[in-house]
Amino acid sequence: MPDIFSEIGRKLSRLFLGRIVVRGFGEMRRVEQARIMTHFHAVMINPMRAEPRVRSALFVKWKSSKAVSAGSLLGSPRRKGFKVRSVSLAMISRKKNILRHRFNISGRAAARQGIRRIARAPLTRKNRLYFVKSLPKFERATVLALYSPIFHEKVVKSALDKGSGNLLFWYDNDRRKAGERFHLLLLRVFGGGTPLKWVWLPVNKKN
Amino acid sequence: MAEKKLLLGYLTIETRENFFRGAALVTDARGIPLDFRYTEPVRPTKLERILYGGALDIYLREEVIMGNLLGAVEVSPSLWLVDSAELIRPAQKLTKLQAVAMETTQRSPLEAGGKYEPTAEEGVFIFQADNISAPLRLSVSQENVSKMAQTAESLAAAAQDMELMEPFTRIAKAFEAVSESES
Repeated sequence: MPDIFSEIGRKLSRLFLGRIVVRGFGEMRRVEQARIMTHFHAVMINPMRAEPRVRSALFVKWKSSKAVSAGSLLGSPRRKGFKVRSVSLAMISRKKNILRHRFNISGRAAARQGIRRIARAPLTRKNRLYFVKSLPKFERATVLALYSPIFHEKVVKSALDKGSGNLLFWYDNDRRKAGERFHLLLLRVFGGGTPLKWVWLPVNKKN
Repeated sequence: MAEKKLLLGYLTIETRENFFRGAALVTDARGIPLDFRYTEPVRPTKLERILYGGALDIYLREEVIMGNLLGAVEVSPSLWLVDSAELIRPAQKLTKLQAVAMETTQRSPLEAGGKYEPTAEEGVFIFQADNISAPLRLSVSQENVSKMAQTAESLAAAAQDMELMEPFTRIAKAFEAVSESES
């Protein structure tokens, strides 16, 4: 059968003076297959848009550059060498992390240990003379101020704030024994000697 | 014996125009500090102010600053003393301890230390801590109104050995010291 087709082909070829090439059926199939294959190779997938032209995005951190606004990038001469790269899915996923960092208010309010700092701060007593109903009498002296309650044995240092009239003092925090409570009185002494005098007075539990 | 075991917790949140910060101080009944925690000033950004809106102040005070402070305190007090009634509810929620708001008054003293009397406001009392000071204004939550006698007794016992409001002054001094060390 293939010989008959070949013979007919040759005769037709002579008849049309070689203007048309007629091939055998088997050859035609191979050519068709080859064309199909060629067609597959020719398939190309092109991006539907131009090259990415993103200069910056608030939510993406590009390589070594920090996430900044476009305005600061364009205005900064140091950014001239900035390379534009395409945005991958992995890069976009970093948006979540960056946003979490930016709104981490709780992290900015972390509690700090400050026991040493507060231990250095003095305790304060206001002048309570106004509220005291009865006081012992002092000869040739009058009471200017009364500070209470104070554990006299624990006091290591004290100072009078002349501006506010408050007494500032520091306790020995390591000393376990506190002793008795006292009022500390500031007296103005009339006559000779020092005009001011400090007097410790044990606290009467009724006061 | 019970007096010595009484521990007072002081909690304050300082709110200024552009920052928030807080501190928690636990003292014994003589005012000796046992634990002190503080936060650095938190300055919300403009974007955060816009996004959080009116909820920002409450969120920062109650959840962020109080949450961090009270979570960090290792010495648990007998009760918390706060300087604003707004802090009572969140302090109690976070610590499961009673919180009392304490403020000074200019009123004339009540007849004796330990006495208290209710005011027209529910949960607000005038309290005489000792015999040589002006009375204090105490605010307690509704569920703690019935415990007021016990609260007054504890505070009066502490007031024998310390000035009840004084630790708030010390916290303010500590804040100043922190600010100076930073500048």
